[in-house]
Amino acid sequence: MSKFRIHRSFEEELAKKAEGFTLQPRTSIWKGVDRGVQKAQSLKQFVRIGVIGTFAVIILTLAYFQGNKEVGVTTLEATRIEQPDQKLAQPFISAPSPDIGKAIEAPITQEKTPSFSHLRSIPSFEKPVGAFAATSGSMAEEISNEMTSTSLRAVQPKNIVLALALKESNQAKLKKRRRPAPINRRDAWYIQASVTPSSSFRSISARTTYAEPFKEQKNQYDQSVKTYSAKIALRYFFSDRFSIGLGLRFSQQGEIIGMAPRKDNDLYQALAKEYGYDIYKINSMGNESTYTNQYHYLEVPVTMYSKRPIGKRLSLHTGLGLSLGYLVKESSRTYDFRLDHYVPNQKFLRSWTVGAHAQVSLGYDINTRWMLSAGPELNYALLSTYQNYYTLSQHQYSFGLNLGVQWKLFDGTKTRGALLK
Amino acid sequence: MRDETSLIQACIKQNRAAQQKLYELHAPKMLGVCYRYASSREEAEDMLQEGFIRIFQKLDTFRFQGSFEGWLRRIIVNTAINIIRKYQNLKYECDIDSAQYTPAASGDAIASMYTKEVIDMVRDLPNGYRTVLNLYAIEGYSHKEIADMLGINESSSRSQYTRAKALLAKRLEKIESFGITEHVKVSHP
Repeated sequence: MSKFRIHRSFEEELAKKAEGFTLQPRTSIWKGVDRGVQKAQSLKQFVRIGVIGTFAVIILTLAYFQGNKEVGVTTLEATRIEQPDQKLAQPFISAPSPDIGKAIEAPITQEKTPSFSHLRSIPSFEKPVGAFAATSGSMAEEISNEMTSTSLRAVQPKNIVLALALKESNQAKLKKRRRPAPINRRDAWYIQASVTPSSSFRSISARTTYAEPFKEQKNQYDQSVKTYSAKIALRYFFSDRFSIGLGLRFSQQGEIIGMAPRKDNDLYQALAKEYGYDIYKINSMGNESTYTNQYHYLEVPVTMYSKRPIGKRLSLHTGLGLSLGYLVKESSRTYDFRLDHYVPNQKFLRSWTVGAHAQVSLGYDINTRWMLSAGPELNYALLSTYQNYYTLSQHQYSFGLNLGVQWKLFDGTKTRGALLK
Repeated sequence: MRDETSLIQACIKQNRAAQQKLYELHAPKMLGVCYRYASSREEAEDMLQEGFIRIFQKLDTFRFQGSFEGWLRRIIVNTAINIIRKYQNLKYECDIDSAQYTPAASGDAIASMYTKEVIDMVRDLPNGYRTVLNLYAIEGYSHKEIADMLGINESSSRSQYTRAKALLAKRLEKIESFGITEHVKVSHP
């Protein structure tokens, strides 16, 4: 007895014993590590590409609309010039600007040419004016080929040179100006954010006949689980009713699996202990132990929407789409038919998946830029959760309430109002 | 030392052969660490696998200061703790009366046993006791650190450790009485 009451530190001896303890892992463990590292690498790349892509789209979108700010103004002016009674302006329709209209009309209406100082007040005109002034003679000849003799007589040479300068300096913008209704495009971009608390479950089918009874057992004991998904997306209206959305969604799927004890006899227990199986980890609580399987996906959903106004502020939105998903995290158990007990799912699970989703939501416009929406959403995995070699085919689905907010990226009402004045 | 540094640097560059070499170098010892925390060998291997994946992901944060093995070990232990917290409850399901029976657990008794016997005896402790005992007596964490890691009170950590030690002492006494390594079975959640 005295042996236990002394002498050397318990902690020291325990640590010493523990330090010297090693175990040789099975070779399959390295394969799992290697697979996990590769998976993490590809996830990093996926996220990196996703983030860069999203930023690129946002920057390009912003750049597009920033570049079009002046276009909106000049297009209206150009349209005004195109009136039939202003025939002399016809050759210069393609050089629109608030001031070019005046410049062209001046010889007729006011018998007065615009001064260079007036033109320099338009930033984009400064450079071409200097450049083309030196060669005004040859330019005038060129222009004379394009104009009717009447208009040539009516317009002074200096004005022609200036107009040509404007025409060439704005050449790139002119193409854009010819697009139909560019003002509406500004109003077409939205950012959406939504969360969907949902109930998730799976449909299951057996690939082999011997798995049929197991399928029945699973269907008997398994239950749905509460999950959620969160999404952020860019939505583009290409007409008043139809739009397309591209986003990034974090989605949780899963089910609660119920199990009855299997092979619950001494011999199997002894063997299980010998070979490191752990059948009691899940089944120790009784006949119907449960384990919550969870699969977390990072998805890129593409959705087509249809919008139907149903009141002054209300609208009905119907969406249908596909998504590409990557399994970023899981905690799950699967029945291994070869080992005859439950094992961690990792080796059976498919990393990539494709899913379909549908949603109907009621939108409420808080003001011109913000909209709230709520409605049911259904997600269904088109590919099995498991690899093809696994005995069961399992498709996850979830049904929930989508709660969202939508924000108009550019407030077109201000610009448009200013133009109409 | 230089070899290890170059091996780590190769691993940071995602050289798979180097990663495998590093794994083979440290895996047996780290599996020994995991085995002390796990309730089965299978679970220990899960911990090892997840731990090494995390190690390779975070290898670029290693600053080449201090022991690399110590750094590895910290990650492995943290991974093991995370898995325990996630999959098992840290309930202490043994009989409190028996745990309060406190013969002093001494180092001498442990020194006279085989390593495997000691480890198995630690592993047969209930989850909560086992985790606290491992962290305090073997890894050298303070009770405050253990409390933070496990999300329990510092006083709980102290009392769990005392009880774990008492339970071990009782089993050691039993071994001495019978002269064999007979482990008292405790049900795991």
